[in-house]
Amino acid sequence: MRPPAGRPDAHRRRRDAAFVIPAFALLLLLPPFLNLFTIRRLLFGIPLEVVYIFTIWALLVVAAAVLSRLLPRPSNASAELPDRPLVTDPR
Amino acid sequence: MLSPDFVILTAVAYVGLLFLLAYVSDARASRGRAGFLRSPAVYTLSISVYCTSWTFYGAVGTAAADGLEFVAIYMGPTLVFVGWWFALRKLVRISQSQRITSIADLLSSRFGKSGRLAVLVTLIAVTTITPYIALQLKAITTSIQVVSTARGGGGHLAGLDDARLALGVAIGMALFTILFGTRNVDAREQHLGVVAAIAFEAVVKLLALIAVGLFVVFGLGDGPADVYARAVAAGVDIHEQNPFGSRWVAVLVLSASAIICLPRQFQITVVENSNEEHLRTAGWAFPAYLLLMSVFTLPIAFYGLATMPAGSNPDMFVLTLPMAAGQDGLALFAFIGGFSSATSMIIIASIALSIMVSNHVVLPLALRRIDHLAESGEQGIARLLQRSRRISIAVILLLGFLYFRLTGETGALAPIGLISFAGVAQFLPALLAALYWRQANVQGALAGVLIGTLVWLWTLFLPSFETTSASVAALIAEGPLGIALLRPEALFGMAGLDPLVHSVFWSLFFNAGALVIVSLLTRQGALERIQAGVFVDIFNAVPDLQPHAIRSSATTDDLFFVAERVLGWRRAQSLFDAAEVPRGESAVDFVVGSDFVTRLERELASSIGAASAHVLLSKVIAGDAISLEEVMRIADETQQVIEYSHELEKKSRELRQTAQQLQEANAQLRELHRQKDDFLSHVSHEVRTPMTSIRSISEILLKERDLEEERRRRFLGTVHQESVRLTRLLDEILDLSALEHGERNWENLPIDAEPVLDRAIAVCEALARQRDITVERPSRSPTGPVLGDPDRLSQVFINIIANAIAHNDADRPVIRISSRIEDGTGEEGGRFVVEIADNGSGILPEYRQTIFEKFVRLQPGEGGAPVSGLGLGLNISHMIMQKMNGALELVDGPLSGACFRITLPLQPDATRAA
Repeated sequence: MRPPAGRPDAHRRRRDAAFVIPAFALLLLLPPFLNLFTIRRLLFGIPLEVVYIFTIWALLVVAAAVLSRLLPRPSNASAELPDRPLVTDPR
Repeated sequence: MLSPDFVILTAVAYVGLLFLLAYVSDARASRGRAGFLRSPAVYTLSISVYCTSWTFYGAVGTAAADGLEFVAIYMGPTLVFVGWWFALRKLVRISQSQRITSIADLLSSRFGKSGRLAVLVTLIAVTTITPYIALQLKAITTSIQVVSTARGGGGHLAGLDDARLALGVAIGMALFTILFGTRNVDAREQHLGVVAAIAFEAVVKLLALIAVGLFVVFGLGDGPADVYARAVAAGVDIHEQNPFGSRWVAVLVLSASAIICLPRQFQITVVENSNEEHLRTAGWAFPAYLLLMSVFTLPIAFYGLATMPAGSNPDMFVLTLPMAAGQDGLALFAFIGGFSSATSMIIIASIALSIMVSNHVVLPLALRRIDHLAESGEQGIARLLQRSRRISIAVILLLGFLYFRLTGETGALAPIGLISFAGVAQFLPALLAALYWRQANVQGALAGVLIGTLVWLWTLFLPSFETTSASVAALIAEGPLGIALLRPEALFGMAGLDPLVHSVFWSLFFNAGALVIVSLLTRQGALERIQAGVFVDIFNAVPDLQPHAIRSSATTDDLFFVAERVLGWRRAQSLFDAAEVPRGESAVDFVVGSDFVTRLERELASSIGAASAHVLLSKVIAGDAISLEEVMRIADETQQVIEYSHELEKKSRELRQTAQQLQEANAQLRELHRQKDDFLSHVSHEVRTPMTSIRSISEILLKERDLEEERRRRFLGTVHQESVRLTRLLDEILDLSALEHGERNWENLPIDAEPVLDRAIAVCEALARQRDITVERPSRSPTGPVLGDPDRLSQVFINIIANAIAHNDADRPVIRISSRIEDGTGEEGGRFVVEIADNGSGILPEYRQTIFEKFVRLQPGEGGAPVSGLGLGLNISHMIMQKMNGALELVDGPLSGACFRITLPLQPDATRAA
């Protein structure tokens, strides 16, 4: 019954990533950090804050696309196992 | 040159195209060829109903006025979708398993299928969304004006004023929505035709905006840098005027909550979702769509600000820029883009609201009035619902139109987008509690939503009429009845904030506060507790439960009767057949399983909402020995099974621990057994040696009668010596056994240890002199008030000193005995310490650990003295010291040899006296 070694661990890490990525992006997009870029400077002729926000946005889309491929699928039996095992391994 | 006729006819033709598209899609779906329509791509596109004309046109206007603030409106949804794995997936899973039909239904279902909560949420949604619909109508009429009459083109349709235009649009949308949005009553059977039309509109508005953006940036301007440079040249500030602050955060929070809480978003994202896996695609594709929608917003705004005449409306730059450049075709395309964003919002919002109104307001009223279901005929309830939905759609759009008529010219509509967001954000605390907090209950949810909405009405909605109503303006300036603390935009004196931030803060603060506090102070009903478990633990649910039989007097015919009224004969029939539930004569003795009742209720809920389905089934089952609550309680077994398995897990862990303890105890027993064997063999060995010599000597004495007197005396002396040694050995063993088993009554009396030590030294004096050993007493304590047995203590001193004498192999042997009193530190009391050190060769490191064990005799160090003694002395001394609460330790001493330290706690009274 036990899934092959390594897989649950990888799943857990991906699930953690699914939480960390939006949370971290939020941090990057909130004032104290965001205002590091409102310094009235241009990058390629475009205001720096604009370049910054849209870059984060694009990276977020890419990260989400990669992540959505990696996150466990319901057809995958171990993906739908509850986080807490119902019956423990009697060891 | 675009004439109004042409523009209006194009719009009509576009709507016609939508009708055709929806019709064809529905037709394909009914023939079972809806594959593409159920694809993740169409699902993602339909979610873009989020982008209304408010964002299509308004984002440019916002960018022109407030810079990057418009990004926050897209960023909130982006973050929610990127994190789809958490909130959205759970929401969709719950809604599919519970057949949720709207956000009102979700909250009501979670909070014990409460009808009151559903009504409250429905009313708030209608209040909040109606102005939003009006805003769309206004956007359409304004854009038609801009794109046509600006050129002064004539035509017989030009005579239409705003109101008639808006009315026309509202009627057209109502027709479309009624035709395609109310085909089936079951909200879970998706409106594929509508969704197809919405997805098509999503493509249109995206292409239109990108086309305008590309034209502005690369056609009119020369790349983005050039557009910004021109804006700077025209004196426009292209940088953020103020650092990002609380308003940015507030808009971010609002937009993130709106993407879930807006009724139309809930409808599209959750209710119309046919496959949870579609979120996987939407999780990145929808943020990408939003990114594309907004990437040209700033360049369009700045180019417009730089080139358009002062005073032109930035909200309409998307239209006016292509027109100013003579690109009528592009302008028309842009108009269609804006038109489609407005229509898609109107369509989905009115469907979502009509489902809520009919399920949660109309049906409960009807159920209360019609007691005899028989009157309603087959699918009677379903037909009632369909009719009420159609009427609701018409009424909602009429309300939107009236709102537009009453406020359209006053500018009160402009900020309504964010005001609506703040309104529906009042559902957020209850929604999050529904998903994650088991203890939240219906009283808390009702209180939170109600108070949050009241604060929102007071602090944000009411002030939006400031410019149109003098009395509202006065209220804002002075507060009600002159109470300054209650001023809508400076509640409780919180002045100086942006009104939006102010309102969002107070409303969510009171909302969440009331939810938490009331939930903690009141109790959950049985049904609520069950639903809470189902919602919060949706991913931990245990499938395949043993179904319970219900001893209900409700026959299967009764149940079928109800099912038929809602689902129609055919669906009811297939439902009953699939579960192999018989009806009629053959069903007299049939016992209905609780799982079937639960499933039936769920099927009913997918048409009429959880609360109504519950009421309806209760009518059939109520009055029986078993109530529906009880049926639900049986379903609660899921929860119990989970709890039981946790219990099992705990038990097995305890068992493992016990087994380990047993194993340890066993090992200890075996060790003790081994020690006992060792002890016995040691003792026999010790006894055997003197016995052998006594025997052999007495044999000689017996056989040889003519032994010289002197030899005889020597032999007798040896026999005496050996028997003395034997006696001593047996004494020590007895002593040891007495100490170990505590047979002797041990009494610690207050004594002075110092004279005891002196006596012990005196006893050993002779022995020392014999061996020419110097006994030094470098320091001594005046007294040693301790608790103990003086004889036993003396025994310990003598044993240690005798050992030091016996084992001292130095050339000039010295023994140093010192005694002192150490003051107590902290918790510990004072101690009486005696140290007995010698300058012999000391104790080898390998013995330091075991020196106090039985029969440990020190092997002589190199060149050491021969060993004598039995190896019990130190063990006995050690045990005696323990009995007196003291200690005997081997420490590093002042001399080269061993140093034993004897410590005893000072007698408490004596310490005080000293």
